[in-house]
Amino acid sequence: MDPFTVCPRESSMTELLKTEDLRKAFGHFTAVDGVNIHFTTDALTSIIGPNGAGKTTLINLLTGSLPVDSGKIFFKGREITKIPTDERVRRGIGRSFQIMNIFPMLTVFQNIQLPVLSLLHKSLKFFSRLDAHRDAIDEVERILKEGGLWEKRDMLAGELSHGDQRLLEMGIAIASKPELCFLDEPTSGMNPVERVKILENIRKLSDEKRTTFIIVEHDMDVVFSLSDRIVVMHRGSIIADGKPNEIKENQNVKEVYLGEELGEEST
Amino acid sequence: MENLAFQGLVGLSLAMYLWLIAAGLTIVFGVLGILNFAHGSLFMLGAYFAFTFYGLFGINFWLSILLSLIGVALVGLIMERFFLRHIYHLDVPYQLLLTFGFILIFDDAVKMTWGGVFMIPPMPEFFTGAIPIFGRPFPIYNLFIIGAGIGVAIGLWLILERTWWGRIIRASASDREMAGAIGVNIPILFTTVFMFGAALAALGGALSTPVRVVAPGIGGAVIIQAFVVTVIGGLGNLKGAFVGAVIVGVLTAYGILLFPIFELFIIFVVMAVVLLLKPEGLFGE
Amino acid sequence: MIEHKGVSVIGRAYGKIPTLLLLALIVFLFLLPHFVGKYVMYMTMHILVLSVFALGFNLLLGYTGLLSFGQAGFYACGAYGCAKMLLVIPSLLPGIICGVLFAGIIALILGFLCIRHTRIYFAMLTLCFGMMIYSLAWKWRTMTGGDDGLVGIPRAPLEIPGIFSINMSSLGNYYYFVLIVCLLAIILFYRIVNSPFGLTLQGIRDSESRIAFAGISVKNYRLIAFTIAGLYAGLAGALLPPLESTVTPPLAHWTHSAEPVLATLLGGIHSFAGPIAGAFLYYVIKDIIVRFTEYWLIWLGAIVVALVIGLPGGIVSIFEKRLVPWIRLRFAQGSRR
Repeated sequence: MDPFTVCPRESSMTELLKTEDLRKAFGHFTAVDGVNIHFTTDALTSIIGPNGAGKTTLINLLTGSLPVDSGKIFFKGREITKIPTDERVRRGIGRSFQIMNIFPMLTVFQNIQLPVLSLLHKSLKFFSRLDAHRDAIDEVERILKEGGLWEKRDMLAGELSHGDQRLLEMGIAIASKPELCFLDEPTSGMNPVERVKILENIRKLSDEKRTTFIIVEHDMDVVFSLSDRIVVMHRGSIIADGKPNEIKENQNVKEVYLGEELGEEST
Repeated sequence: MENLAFQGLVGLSLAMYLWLIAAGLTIVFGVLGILNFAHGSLFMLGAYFAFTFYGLFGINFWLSILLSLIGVALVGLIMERFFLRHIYHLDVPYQLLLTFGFILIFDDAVKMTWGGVFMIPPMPEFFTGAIPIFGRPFPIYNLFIIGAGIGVAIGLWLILERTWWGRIIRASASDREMAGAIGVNIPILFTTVFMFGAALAALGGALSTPVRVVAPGIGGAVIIQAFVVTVIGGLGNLKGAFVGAVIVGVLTAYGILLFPIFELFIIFVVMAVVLLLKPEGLFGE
Repeated sequence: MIEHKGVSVIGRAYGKIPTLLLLALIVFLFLLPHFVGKYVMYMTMHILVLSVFALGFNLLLGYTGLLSFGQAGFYACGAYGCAKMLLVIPSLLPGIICGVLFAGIIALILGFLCIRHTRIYFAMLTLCFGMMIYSLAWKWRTMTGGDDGLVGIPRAPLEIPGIFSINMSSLGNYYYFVLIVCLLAIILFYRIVNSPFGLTLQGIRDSESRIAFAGISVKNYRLIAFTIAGLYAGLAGALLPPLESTVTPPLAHWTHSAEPVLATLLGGIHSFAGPIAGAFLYYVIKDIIVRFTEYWLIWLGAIVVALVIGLPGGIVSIFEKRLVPWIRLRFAQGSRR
C-alpha cells in the first residue's frame, strides 16, 4: 500500500515564485536556457531530469547562490533577481543541499538553534546568554523531536551517520519556516528505512500547508509517490510539466530517459 | 620633467625585484594553492648565499648567483617535501601559520650563521659606475636589473607556453584533479614548482645584494611588498604580478621623490583602492 | 572547514574547567603581589595583556574562521591613543577609553575593506593594513614621535574627579588595575561567545554558504567580530603605556601581530581558554629558552611547525582529551538547556 496517498488540497492557491526567461551559462555550456516556470502553494512539485539537465543550477539561481545571466525571478510578486541569498531567505525561501552542508563542529542542537534564532531575529544579540532564550530552545526541541534527532542533540554534527546528517540537513532547512523550500536530492545515499522517515517528514510538513516543497530527485519511486506535479528538465529547458500520470505517458520524457527506466534507484 | 622620467626608471628597477619575488609567490599559489608566507625568507636566503659566495669567498658573480639559486632550491625542496606536504589538506590559516613558523626559523638561523649585523656586499666591477640618462647618472647595475627582470618575464612566458613542464603547470593550476587523473605526478610536480618558485625568490635576493644591505629581517619587508603586488595584480596571475610590481615600484619611487614621509603609505592606499574597485586584482578572476 | 584532530567544540569548554579551580586561580592572582617580586608581577601583567589581545584575535580565527595577521595595528592604535591622551590629561580612565575607542574606530573602517574578501585575501589584507599603521607610526614624526616614539608617559592615577583618586605609581597598584580590567574583559568575552551572536559566528566559520540560508548576512557579522577583535587589541595596547612609559612603532609591526597568533596556536584555537593558556605558555617558553640561548625564535618557529603538523588543536586539546572523561564524571555539565 502506498503510504503517501496524495491528499486533495484546498482549491485556494497562491503563486509563490515565477521566473521569466532565466538563463545561465558557464563558458560555452548553457546550463539553464530560457526557463519560464512558476510554483504555487497547492502542489508539491518534483523536478527531474537526466544528469546535467540543469536542475541544481536552476535551484542555485532561484535561491541566489549563483547570479543569473539574464531573466527575472519574482517571489510573492516582488522581483528578487538581484537580491542576495540571506534576504531571499528572510522573505521565505529555503533550501537543503545535495552535498551535505551542515555545521560540522556544532552540536545537532546548535545546528537547529542557528536558523531558529535567526528567525526570531535574535542572532545579533551578543550580550545575552544562549540558554536565556527559552522560546528558541523550545522550538529547537520541537523540531528535533519531530525529526527523531532529539536523543542525539549533543553529538557533533560532523560525527553523525550519513542518514542522520541528511535528516539534520533537512531540519536546518525547515527550521527557518520557509514558505517555499527547495530540497536537493533529500534521500540520496540513504537506506530504505531512513528514506521512509524523511519522506514521512516531507509529507507531514507539506500537508500542514505552511511550506511548499520543490524537490529535485532521481529516485522515481519517491517522485511518483510524493508529487502533485512533476517538472522535467533536459539540457537546460523544461520539456514537460504536469501531473504524475501525464508525465508517465509523455513521449518526450520517455525519449529523454531512453536507457533509463523510470523507477530506477538513485545511487 | 626629466626628474620624473629618471625617477620612473628608478622605480622600474625597484619593480624588478618585486616582480621576481611576486612571480615565485604567485606561481606557487597558482599550482599548489599555498600562500607561502616564508617566501620573503627565501629571498633573504638567496641574498645571504650570493653574498657569501661572491662577497666572502670571492667566487665569480654569475656563478655565485647560480649557486645561490641551487642552494635555496634545495631549501625549498626540504620545506615542501617534509613539511608543506602534510598540510595541503588543511585550511588556509594552518598554511599561513606553518610558513610563518618557517619565517621565525629562518630569521634566527641566518642570525646564527652570519651574525645579526647587516652587511654591505661589494658591487662587481663590470657593473660599477653609471651612465647618464635624462641628464643624471643612472647606475649601470640598475639597468642590468631592469634587463634581468624583463628577461625573466620573457623566460617564464616561454617556459609556460612552450615547454612540456610549463603546459603541465598551466593545466594543474586550472584543474588539479583533472591533471592528476590524466597521469600527472602531482607530488613531484608540486615539489618542482615549489623549488622553482623558491629559486625565483632567491634570484631576486641574489640580484639585490650589490645594491641593498644584507641583514636578517629583510625578508619581512619584502614579503609585505610581494603581498601588495599580488593583491593588486591578482593572486595566481603572472601577468598581474608583473604589472603590479611595475605599479608598486614606480609609485614607490615617485613617493620617495614627492611625498617622502608617506611613500610606504601610498602603496597601501593604492592597494586599498584596487580592492574596493576590483577585489580579485587587476587581472584576477 | 578547519580540520581538527579530536578537539572539542568551543561551547563545550565550559564545564570542563571546574569552577573551583578557576576561583583558586583568581584568588592566587590577587594574592600574587604579596609573595613575588616586581619581575614576576611585570611578567604576569604582560601575560594578562597578551591574553586579552589573543582572545580578541581568536574571536576572528577560532570562532569566525578568519586569520588576521594585522591585529598589532589595533594594539598600537590603543597604545598610541592612550599615550596621547595621558600626555594631555594625566588620568588613567580617559587614557584607556581613548585608546580603546580609537582602536575600535580604525578597526571598523579597515574591517569594512577587509571582510569583503576570502580567507587568503583577508589574511594578506590584514597583514598589509597592519603594516600601513606601522609605516604611519614610524614616519609621522609630528604625531607619533617617529621611530623614537612617545616617551615620558605618566602612570596616571585612577580617578573619578570629586569621588576618588588612586595613585598608580606603585607597581602593585597598577597590577591590580590591569588584573581587574583583564578579568572583566575575559568575562565579557565569555558572554559574547556564548550568546546568539557567538553561535552565529561559529556557523559562519563552519559553513558560510549554509548560514546564508539561515537568513544571516555574513558580512555584517564579520565586520562586528572584526571590530570587537580590534577593541580587544586596543584595550591590550592601552594598558601598556602606563606600564612601560613609552610607546614605539614596533608595537604595530607584523612580528608583534604574530604574538596572539602564536599564543592561540599554542593554547588551542578551538577552545575558550586556549588563548589565555597560550599567552601563559608563550611567555614561559620564551623566558626559559632565553636563559639558554639568544636564539629563541628558532625554537618558537620549530614549535609552531610541530604544532601545526602534529597538534593543530593546541595544548588545550591534550588537556581535554585526557582529563575530560574524568571531569565529566565529577562535575555537572555547563548549562545549555
